[in-house]
Order: sequence, then structure tokens, then C-alpha cells
Amino acid sequence: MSSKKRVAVFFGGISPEHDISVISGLQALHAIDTVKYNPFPVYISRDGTWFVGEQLFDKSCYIPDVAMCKKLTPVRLSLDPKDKGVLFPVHKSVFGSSKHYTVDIALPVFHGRIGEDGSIQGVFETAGVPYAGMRAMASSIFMDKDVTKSLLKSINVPHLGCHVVKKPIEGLLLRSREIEQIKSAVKFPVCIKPAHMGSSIGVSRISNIDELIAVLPRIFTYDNKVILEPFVDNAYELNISVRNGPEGIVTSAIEKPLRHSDLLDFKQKYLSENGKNGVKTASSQGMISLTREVNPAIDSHVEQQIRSWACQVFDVVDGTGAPRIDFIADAQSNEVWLNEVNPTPGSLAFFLWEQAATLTTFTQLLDDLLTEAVMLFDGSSTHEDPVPLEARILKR
Amino acid sequence: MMNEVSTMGHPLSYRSLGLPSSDNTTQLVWGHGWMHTHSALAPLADFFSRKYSNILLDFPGFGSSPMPSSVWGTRQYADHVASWLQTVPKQSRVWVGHSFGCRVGIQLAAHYPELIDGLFLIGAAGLPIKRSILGSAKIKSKIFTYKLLKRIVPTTALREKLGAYFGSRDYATAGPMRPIFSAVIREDLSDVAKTVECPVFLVYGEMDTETPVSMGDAFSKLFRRATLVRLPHFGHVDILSDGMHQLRHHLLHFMKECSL
Repeated sequence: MSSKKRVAVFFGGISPEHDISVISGLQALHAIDTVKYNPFPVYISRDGTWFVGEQLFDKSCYIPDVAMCKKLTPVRLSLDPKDKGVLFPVHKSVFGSSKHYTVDIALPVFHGRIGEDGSIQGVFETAGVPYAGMRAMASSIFMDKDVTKSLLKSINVPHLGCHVVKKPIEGLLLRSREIEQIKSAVKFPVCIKPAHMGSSIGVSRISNIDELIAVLPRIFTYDNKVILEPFVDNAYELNISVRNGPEGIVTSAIEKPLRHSDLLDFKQKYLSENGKNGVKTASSQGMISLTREVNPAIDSHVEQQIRSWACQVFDVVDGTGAPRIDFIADAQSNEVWLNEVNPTPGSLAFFLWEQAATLTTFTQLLDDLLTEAVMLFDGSSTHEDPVPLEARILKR
Repeated sequence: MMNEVSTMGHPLSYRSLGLPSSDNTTQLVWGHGWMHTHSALAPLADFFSRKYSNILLDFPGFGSSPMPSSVWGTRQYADHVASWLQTVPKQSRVWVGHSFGCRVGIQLAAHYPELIDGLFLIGAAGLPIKRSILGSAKIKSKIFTYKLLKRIVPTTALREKLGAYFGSRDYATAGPMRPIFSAVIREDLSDVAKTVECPVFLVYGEMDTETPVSMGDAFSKLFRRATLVRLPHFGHVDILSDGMHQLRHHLLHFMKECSL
């Protein structure tokens, strides 16, 4: 029996960012130190089926078609904490007992809703499985841009204000009353962003109310809330990752994504290949294929602000994992605003750690995250009877 | 950008990456596999560019380096690169090889121990592949059939096709480098490996069929100071791409353990 810890790498999922999650997940799967761990993939299909199987190690398997799915084993995670994380086959063997898959540590590599937003983290907590990354609460907060801004306001971290537009209960079209409200409250141009989606999906510059009315129904098919932020001319982005180090919070290198238009959209973020026109290919390397400048020459005060605010926002939620924190800066005024926090960034932002002050491999980063997962789990209080003495009413 | 030096009367192209070579820097010299060029190892080397001096070679007959004028074995390749490395300043030096590049590295470390302080070998070739009785019989019958048909077939073009059909992929695509390939593939570096004194780190993909893990087991017994790591799910070539992060990790640790 191997003494290596079994690490289940979860990816895919019911999310607009399913495909990029597969890329990030496979990168992590192959980068985990196999001398120390025994990693295996758990792919969640777009319809929510959980699969395990040797074939899932192979990039060419994705997205599994019907024939491939027959070779894979659909599984369910036991939510009984006494099982301590076991994946059982959905279909029982004809001969009774079926092979089950032990999960010592879960590494969720989902992007977007149902995975990055705290929901899967909640499942792991219920099931009693140590998991890497941000905790459920932090994930939920940061996967809602509107709620994130409220948190930033409470700790005085500069951010752009926003106007929230919610999907009408009746359908995709705004009511005239809501349109009038936007007209009076919002000054165009604005930057529209789905509130719960990452990877810059659905992000665009909106010049007037007619454009907004035209674009909203499509975004509402993916998200039930959008935010409208003031559009910053001369803006550029600066991203940084944060995590816990042995002696406190540490920050990564800073990246400045390069772009060819007003906004860095999904295609530029994930499908650009060294500046060539993005063509969707199976060989896309996720965030690492993005054209970027790492450790760019920036004003030292701006750099200091970014590092300080990134630590502050990580700390306020008792941060874990290695989220990427994105900032917007005004090239003329040097003003900086915290834009968003990505609990599970594309490629887990390993390229930012590789270029950090201390030479850190992706494998080392993952080892640190997995070690943290076990420490958090071991440190969580467990009592035989969860009801404290003073709250016990019923006879034991 | 590629640089070129002429040493022992033959050009050698290489790419420098990271810190400039000096008496205070640790240097990584990257030796690629057969039919590859320096670019196959560039993504791996890129990570080390901030802290180390890196030299990525194009062996003669590959990439920008012209073919040797005679049939070289790996000893000649090692002599050639050694004559230049003797002139390059360094504090310490690790040879990182893949497959064929490992053969050259082993020769170099064995015959020029003052030039190499550590060997990091990925899918190292250089020993006969241990085969089952059935596997051995299959290979022998394949060679016998090839030699028989070669005698019967009248034209050179048809013989080429036979070679491509019966030979390995590397043999088939070797072109004018085929005599060198045939010479290199026959080499058994068992005795050479025994004389290597520097620490050696061996990494093999468990799915590697060209240089199987069994070769790593054998090498680890021959080298005096060897560590062997098996990486599941990787083959001979994809270990350089999908396995890149684990390779970087092990190389970094190897450097630290060797205090380099």
C-alpha cells in the first residue's frame, strides 16, 4: 500500500469557464510532485457528472465524447464525514462491491460558478475532505464582484464604484422603469461585467444605453447580475498573487497583461498566442499563453500600494490558497483601484510565482497549497459530540 | 539568438540564457535529444534564467550546427564540447541532458570530471534495453527479415523505404546523420558510467518505451552517486512538456542538494 497521499484534482464543471478549467486542471495534475503524492483527475462534465479514469490524464481525451464516457467511471463523493472522502462508483458492480477511490486531499481547479464560488468547497467541508485553495466563505465573497466591492469599501481599499443591474424575474429584458433608473444613475461610457464570472467573459465597453439594452439579454443567459463600472481611459491592468508563507503573507511577481484593444476579453486572455490572432486550439496553455509583461517597470509607490492592498484583502478573509488579485491603474494619474479577486486563477497563476523574488516552481507551489490544506483540516476543531455541554438539551 | 564558436575545427552553435558566464555563476549546460535542437529544452531552461547562466547547445548535425565531417560517436561529441567548455568561465556546472544529450553528458563527466559538477539526466540512453525472450526474438526476426530483403531489393530508393519500414523512427528520419545514429545506438556506456564521480540525478517517464525505466534502474547501479526518480504518465518526449514542472522542481532541488 502506497504511503503517498492521494490528491484528487477536480476540474471541468458546470461553468462558462469549463474549458479553461480543464486546461488549468491538467496543468496542475501533471505538475504535482509524484514522488510525494499520488494525483488523479476527477473530471466534472458540463452536465455535472463526475468521472474518474486513467484516460483523463490524456489531453486528447477532452472533451470526452459518448464513447469515451463509457470507458470512464462515473462517481459520487460520499458526504458522510466518517468516510473521510471516498468516491463511490455510481453504478454498482454486478458482483457486489465496487472499487472506490480514496481522496486524501482535494485540489479544486474550477473557474467561475459552481466550483470557484464556494459551492464545491462547501461540499468538501461537509464530506470532511481536506481541500486546497480559498475557503468557502472567501470564495463566495470574491466570486461576486458587487459583494467584493462592499468588502473593499469596509477596509478602505480603493476600488471603482459600480451600478448593479439584476436579471428581471420575468425574463431577459429590462423593464422601462429600470432603464430610466440606469439612465439617471450611470454616466457612459461604462465597463460592463457579469458579477459572478471570471476570465473576463462578457466584459466589454458600453458607450450608451442602447448598447447596454442590446448586450444585457446575452449576458443574462450566463449570469443573473451585472455591474457597470466607470470606464477608465488610459487604463492598464496589474495582477499579483498572494499566499501564506512560513513567516506571513507573501506576494508574487506582478504581471501587466498586454492587450490590443480597450479591454482584455476572454479571447485575449486565453486564446492569444504571442500576439497572433487567437484561434481556439486544444493546445491552448490557459493564462500562460497570454501575452504579458512580468515584473514590469512601474512606479515604486504603485507597486508598494498593490502589494500592500493585496495582502490586506487576503488577510481580511483569513486568506488561504493563492488567489490572483487584479488591479486597474490609470497610466496618466497613477491612480490604482483593486479590480477583482480570483480565488482560483487561470493556471493557478503559477507563472507569477515562478518569477517571484524566491525561485518557486509550480510543483513547489502545489506542494505548499496541499500542505496548507492538510494543516487547515487538522487544525479544524473536531469533537465527538459537536454540541457543547451548555447547549445539550437531549439525553446523550 | 544563436551564437557560434569553432572548436576542434568544427562549429558549435549555442544559445545563452540568463546570467552571463563568469567565475561566480553556476552554469547549466543543456544537451538535447536525437533529432531535437536546443529549443526542445528552452522552456525548461527558461525558469533557471534569473538565477543561473544557461548554455543551450545545438549538437553538430542538429539545429544550427553543421554535421560532423566524419562518423562521430558520443565520445567525439563530448570531446568537441569539452574543448570549448574548457574556455568558458564558471563557478560550478551541471549538465542537463535528454536522451542522446545524456550520452554526451555521461562521456563528458567521465572523461572531463573537472568540467562537470553534476549530471541531471532525463530519459538517459546509453545502455542496451532489457527485453523479454519474446521481445528479443521479435527484434531478431525483424533484423533478419530486413537484412534478407535488403539483399534482394535492387535499388537504393527501395532500400531506403525498407529501412524506414523496419528501422526505428529515429533511424528512418536520420537522413545523412544515419551513420552517426547507427554508431551511437550501438554504444554501451556501462563502463563509462562506472567512472563518473559527480552526483547524478536520473529521471524517467514510466510510459517511456524508448528509454524505459529499467534503463534507469541499471544506470542507478552503475553510477557511484545516483538518485532515480520515476514520473508516472509521461513518455520519452512529453516528459519535456507536460512533465516540465516536475523536472524543474527536481533540478532545482538537485542543485540545492549539491550546493550549487
